[in-house]
Amino acid sequence: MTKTVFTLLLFLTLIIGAGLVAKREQEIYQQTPAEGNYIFKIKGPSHKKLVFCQDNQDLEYQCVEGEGIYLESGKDYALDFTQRPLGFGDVNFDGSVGVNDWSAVLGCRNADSKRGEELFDIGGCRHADSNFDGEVNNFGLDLLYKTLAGEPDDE
Amino acid sequence: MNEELKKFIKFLAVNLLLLSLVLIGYIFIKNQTWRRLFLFRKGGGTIRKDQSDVIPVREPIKITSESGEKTSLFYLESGVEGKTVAPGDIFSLQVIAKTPGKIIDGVEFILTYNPLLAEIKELNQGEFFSLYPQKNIDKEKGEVRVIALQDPNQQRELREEIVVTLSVEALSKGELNFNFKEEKNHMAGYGGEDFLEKTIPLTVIIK
Repeated sequence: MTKTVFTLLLFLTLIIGAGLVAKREQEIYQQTPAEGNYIFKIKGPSHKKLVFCQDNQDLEYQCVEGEGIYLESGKDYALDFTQRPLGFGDVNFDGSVGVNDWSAVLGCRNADSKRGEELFDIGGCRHADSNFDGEVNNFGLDLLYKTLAGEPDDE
Repeated sequence: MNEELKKFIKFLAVNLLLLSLVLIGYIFIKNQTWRRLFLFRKGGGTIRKDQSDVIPVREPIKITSESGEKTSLFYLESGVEGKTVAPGDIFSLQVIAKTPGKIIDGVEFILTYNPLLAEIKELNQGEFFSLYPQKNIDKEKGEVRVIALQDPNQQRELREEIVVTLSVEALSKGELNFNFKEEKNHMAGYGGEDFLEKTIPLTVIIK
């Protein structure tokens, strides 16, 4: 009886130990990606997705196939993507900015939706708040119009 | 077989079973790690997300009690139905939005055609919508993309209205199909509800 309990405890310790080792390995692998060319796809909470393949990429630059930012494994990098702001407007998060998003922002604006109200906090109007100032107003409509007039689909 | 030997075999069997469980668990976790790492490297640094990681499309915002019942359509009307069109002829094609009296904030569509058979010469706006952030003609691809919006300070009901009128020149003989590109057509109102039920294409024979 004692022998069996001892054996069970021993193997239980082994199982937990093996699991912890594997988990740690997994974390290390995830933290240190291989070196090579990387592209960055960035999507905001209600914004269209843009692809970045250069540090400090400017507004008009379009990435070509195979292009990317060369990163070495284990090194730290500070990349700046602020030159090319994400276009506001994918309020329903379907991968494209369109009339459904326009209608959502317009509806929230017409309802004068503000932070602290149910329509804003739970009803979804918080996604239509373009500048995170706690209310949906014409500013959001203007930004959305700008996105619609450009390239409204996710890259 | 004596009792001691039986006990020993039993003890050994239990140990082997537990050891194999440990090994299987370890190999499984390790495998998962390598699989993810492999995809990570193969994807040029892009961590592929599982379907469960993808954020679903958000529900329309419930501004009113209006349900998003799909009852509206886009259809095409040309002045040449039943007539013969010859290469060189210019005819008009209207894109019409029809709803049973809904307040439609905006409509959008992509209309495709064969650019070898026809050329869109001109695009004219309709009267119902006042803002047109997109009214692009891609003559190489054979695509017309239109986004039309109602004045944001008005809430007029739409019944049957021309969105745009296209002036089309027939270039060569053949069956000219005008189709709406799937998933790119919407008719929205009431906080993002999409009322579009269907689109009706049109074929013009150029003889």
